[in-house]
Amino acid sequence: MKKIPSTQTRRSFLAKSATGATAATILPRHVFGAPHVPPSEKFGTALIGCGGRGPGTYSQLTKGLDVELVGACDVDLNRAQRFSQARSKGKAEVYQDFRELLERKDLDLVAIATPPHWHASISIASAEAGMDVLCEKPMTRFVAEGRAVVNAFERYGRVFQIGTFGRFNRSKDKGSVLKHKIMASGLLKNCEAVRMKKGGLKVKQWSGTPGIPPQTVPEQLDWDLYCGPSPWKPFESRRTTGTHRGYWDYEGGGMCDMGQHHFDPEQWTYGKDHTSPVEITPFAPPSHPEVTGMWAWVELKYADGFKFVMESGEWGPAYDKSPVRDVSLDDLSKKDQEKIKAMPDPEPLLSFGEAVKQRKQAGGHPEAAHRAACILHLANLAIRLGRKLNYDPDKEVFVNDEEANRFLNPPMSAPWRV
Amino acid sequence: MNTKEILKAFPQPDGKILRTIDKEACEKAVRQIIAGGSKTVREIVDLIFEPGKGEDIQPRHALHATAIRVGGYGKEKKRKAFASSLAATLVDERHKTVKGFVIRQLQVCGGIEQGSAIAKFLTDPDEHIYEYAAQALEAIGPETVSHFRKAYAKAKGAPRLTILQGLGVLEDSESKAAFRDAIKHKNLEIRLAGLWGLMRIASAEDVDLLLAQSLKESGWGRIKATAYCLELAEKLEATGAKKGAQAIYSNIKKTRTAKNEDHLLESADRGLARLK
Repeated sequence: MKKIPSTQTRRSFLAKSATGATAATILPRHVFGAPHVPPSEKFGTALIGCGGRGPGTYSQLTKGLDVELVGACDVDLNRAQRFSQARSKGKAEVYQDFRELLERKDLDLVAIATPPHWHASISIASAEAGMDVLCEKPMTRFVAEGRAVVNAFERYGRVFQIGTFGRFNRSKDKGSVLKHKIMASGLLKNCEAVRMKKGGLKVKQWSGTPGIPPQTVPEQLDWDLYCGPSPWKPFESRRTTGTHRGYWDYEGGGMCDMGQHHFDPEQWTYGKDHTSPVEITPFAPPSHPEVTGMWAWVELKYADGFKFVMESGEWGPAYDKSPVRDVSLDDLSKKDQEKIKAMPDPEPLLSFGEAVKQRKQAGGHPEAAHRAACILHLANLAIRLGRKLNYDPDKEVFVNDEEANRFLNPPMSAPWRV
Repeated sequence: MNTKEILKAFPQPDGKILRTIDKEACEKAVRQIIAGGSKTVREIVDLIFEPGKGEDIQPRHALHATAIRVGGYGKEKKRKAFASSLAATLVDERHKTVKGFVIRQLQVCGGIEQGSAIAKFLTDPDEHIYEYAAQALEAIGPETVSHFRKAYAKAKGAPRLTILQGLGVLEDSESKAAFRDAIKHKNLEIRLAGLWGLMRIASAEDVDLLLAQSLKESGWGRIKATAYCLELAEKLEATGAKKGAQAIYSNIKKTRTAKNEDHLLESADRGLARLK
């Protein structure tokens, strides 16, 4: 916000590395002639999506920072008002439309806790308006949105942190750091490791209910704006307020609700922050067009042979294709083991608050968050399509499956586009 | 086999959700639907109702499952036959929401052959069917662009914006005049769709137009119009049209002097550095 007794601005940028990947380097503002801003600044903040996870996500945004809540935004005005009252005694202005909120000139940091079908559009618009963002997981609703978020945060040099934090502890755990180094070294050519996540993906809890008749839209809710980029559907309350997770239009069931929590730390540990699986094999019954449902397991294989397996434990047979086993130094020759031992530990991951103050990349940066979200999206697409999929992680398209590719970047409802 | 019997393979909610589902029975039913051809497809569509007007969980599930299962490598013949049968039901007398559901299945499995049948709904404002039609055609791909061009010429109201956006999605360089014309419109979202369309087709000759419009806009309009300028610059960079990219970055650097726009200045600085 502009309450700082200074003519300086806190806004600085993150640079794109020479390789094109998002880098952890900082190029301070003064490189381009502006003075450095001390990290004692007070930040203007807002929350977009004030129900459910909203207050918790906002708290994560403000950790370690001196902030003032200036805006609360929700398509359900009652929720925005309640949040403004609870966190600022009603001083923070209330909005129903995030576009009006983002026009504010005293806004620096935005927490986004809408349902996931809005995450990408609002994250991108926030970056375009110059804000740093902490966004609730899952990062996106589909693959192409994630790439657009990565590109936008590179373009504007803003800080982005996904709302899951397991990788921070992982990156301090000695055993995980060792596995990270083994995988990141590239010395393990034909990896036979299979990492299994059994249960915990809330398949039944976040399955949707089909066939509910349309209901009257509550007066305080802008239903058209709620639908936003997703296909417009008649209102029924289960499409909102948490149970939205069970509808393909807004999320992807328990897989997307919990998957980023489970697989984001795993992705860091096994050095997959900049790539995606190449083969995805599901076991699932035909899915319903509107609501998420049952599945048994999905195997996701990376180019180096490493596999993630998710087994629902709530329907169908158990996974039995490959034995579960981890990565260890014993997988390498004695010579390569010595190389791993000589490798420096990876740089510590920065929290959102530190990243904002230092103008560096946060631990849960856009590329990593996007790749973790892709694990869930690819698994869900394999479940929905009911067939093995081959994926090109560089081009981010399925190979030889034109119909499957239609699900990677489904068209949005106007005027929304990424 | 009787169509209603086939559909029984698909589950009814058990404790509100579809937890009791037999994969093999469903897969068998899909094969029976495919074998049943257009007659079976029409009978299933006949069992789908306007939301809230009848129980149709199983026919919706079955139709979608089949649309999905006919996709993928090596299934072209089956996919074409099923999509053709599905599209044929769009000419029947049905509620628009039912036709909308059918169009959404064609978004999954349809091809250019179904373009005309879907495009008839591009200008129809009832029940958001124009959106479903546009999204299905966009998913089918660039070969459908002629349908958008024809529809845009006569579209009014909400469908007009959707069709204009569709021309942008399909990166239709032949719609350059339509995009330029849209920039003069009184409605902000139409102006932005026009700017976005010009950005999508990487129109180097419209650099000045985009820059000028971005300065005319305020608030949300300025945020998005400026974003499209920067994205155009990146596209021009990628295609080697460095002069256009340089013009954009230089203009942004010169004109975005407010404190809340310094991120734009920095973005332009990085762009200029890349061009050196």
